[in-house]
Amino acid sequence: MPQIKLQSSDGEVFPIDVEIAKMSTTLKTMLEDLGMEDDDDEIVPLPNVNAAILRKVLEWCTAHRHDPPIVDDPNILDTRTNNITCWDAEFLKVDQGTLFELILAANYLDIRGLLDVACKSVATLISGKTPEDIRKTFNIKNDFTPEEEEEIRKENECCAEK
Amino acid sequence: MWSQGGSCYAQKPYRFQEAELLDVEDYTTIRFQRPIKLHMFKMHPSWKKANVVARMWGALIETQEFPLSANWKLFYKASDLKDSKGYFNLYSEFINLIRIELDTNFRKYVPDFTHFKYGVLIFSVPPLVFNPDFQEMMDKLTLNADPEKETELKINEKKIAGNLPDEILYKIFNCLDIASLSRCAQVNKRWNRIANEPDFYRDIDLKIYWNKINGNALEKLKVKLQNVRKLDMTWCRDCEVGHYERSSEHFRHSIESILRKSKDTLTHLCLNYSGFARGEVLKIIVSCPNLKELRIRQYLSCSWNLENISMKKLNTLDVSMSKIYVRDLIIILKNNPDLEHLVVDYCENLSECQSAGPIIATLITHNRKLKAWSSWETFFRQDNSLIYKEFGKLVQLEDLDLGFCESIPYRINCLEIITKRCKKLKRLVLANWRRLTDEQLLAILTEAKELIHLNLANLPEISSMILSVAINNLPNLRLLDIRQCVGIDKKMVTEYKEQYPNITIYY
Repeated sequence: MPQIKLQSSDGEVFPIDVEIAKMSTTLKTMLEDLGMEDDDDEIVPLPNVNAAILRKVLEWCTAHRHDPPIVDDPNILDTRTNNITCWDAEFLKVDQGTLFELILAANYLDIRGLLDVACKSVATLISGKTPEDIRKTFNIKNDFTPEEEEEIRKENECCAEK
Repeated sequence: MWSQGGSCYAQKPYRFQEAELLDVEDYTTIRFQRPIKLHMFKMHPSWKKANVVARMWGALIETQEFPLSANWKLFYKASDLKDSKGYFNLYSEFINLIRIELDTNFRKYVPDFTHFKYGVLIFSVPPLVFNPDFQEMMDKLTLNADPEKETELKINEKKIAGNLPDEILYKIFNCLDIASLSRCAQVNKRWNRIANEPDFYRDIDLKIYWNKINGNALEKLKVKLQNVRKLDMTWCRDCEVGHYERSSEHFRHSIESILRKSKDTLTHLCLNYSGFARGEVLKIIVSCPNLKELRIRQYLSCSWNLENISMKKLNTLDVSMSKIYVRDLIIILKNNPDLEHLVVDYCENLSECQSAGPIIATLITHNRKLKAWSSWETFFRQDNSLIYKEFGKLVQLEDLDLGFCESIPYRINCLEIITKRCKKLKRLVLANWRRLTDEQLLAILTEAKELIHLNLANLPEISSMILSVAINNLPNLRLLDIRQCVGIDKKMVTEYKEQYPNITIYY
């Protein structure tokens, strides 16, 4: 099994199977464009991903290496939050900071499945919360003036509760 | 809620909002002539019991003492669908209106809810001598939203959602329903801008907000809904206008504008029991070129405006309880060759017409893909049952509901012809075909091997033999309805129920 080496932002080197690396569209394109497949000694630097997160990402990729490719079908709305598998749910039981870093890493490496499931996980954190709760949870500053806030509250009150 | 199926058998639960919501489609409202205090509410229908009730509301409206009071209170909310207790103990305040929302998950085994009205028993103070008036109504409500359970996660101060790039927020918001989006829009300016993006509002269920929809609310939704594909506005009407009233000008203007803007993107539209499906709205509906599923039960308008119909891709049409005319229905059928599911239950104007002949003839010529026909209690007076034999030409038919549609007289067994030709038939409803005999039924039971659901309720002529033949001869049978079949031996039914627990028998 051919391998390549990935280097995290803090300098740790991860030797991994090319097959797993190719689950990242970013790495796949790079390997194919640069013809690096046969060159075992080349190290690919990933300046945006630290070792802890990269380890997590590779753990996910290894577990999902046999997944079928994701097909975009506008008729299948499978974006709702209820279809996270048990393994993924367990995998994503991390603190919020790690979750966001995972999302950024998945986005940078373009790993579609991981990005989808991590975004769904954040969506479940949001759903059911009031705007104030959301601000607290995600540490977001309210930049509305009281008048604007009231206006926007009115605009959205119809469907804000179930 | 959306389904490819046009009738009970084919209905699949479709949930696109958050999954814990109950799938409620039908409801009924009971109105009392004077305010009462409820003590107990009991239903005794012959099928499963209280588990068809998803939620129950009560309200006090428009009495002399309380002229403006119209606050709905939630009395009961199903928590466990397997809960089969047949009554609720309720100690309510004075109310004069009960609204019961029914859970259609059970519907595939419940032919219809019309019997519901016979099965209600209410204990109250003062005791009731009541005459339930089954009117639907829409009024101002106050809805108590349950705080949802949430998972506690530690907050890491270093990385915050505020730092996630827009493209990631888009992805996250794409997983949210309209309620959560409405709250995200109130977080800050950036979230507001993203949460209002019409792309997130493609599949929208406003049914659960029926008590809050008014002209203003629709006006606000107008921009967001411009690309909507699936829109469910069941029960929605102008909540600011009293019941029985027409919607306000503002409301109608907003709804027309929403439909007009989204007419090219709409594929599924459901306006069941909404007070506004009439006139201009119907005109816009028939101009939607991509509409695949249209459900407008109980629309009130009599005439469609079909000269320039561009709605030609319908797969499912449900116009139950409406006043559709035969000529309008035929034009719609002719224009929609892909139609597979047609539901015309309780259609008065169809009942008053002379014959089902022209409709069936149109189906045979133009709608050969038809899988499901349902005309429960739409009774064509002048027909003889020979007309129905034409259904045999629709070889794709899987679901045929002719409950209460028996016509007179018949010498040829039209049902035998149908079952011989329609080899895919899975559901057959012949309730109240009072002249049907054992002999005629036997011919059916030997042919229709695929039947899953057979409804023979209220057939006085048939004997116990039919029960054993149906059960032994139909390998896929799961539901057999023989309620009020006086010729069938009760003891035998009990034995069969024990012996075949996988088959539900209503008796």
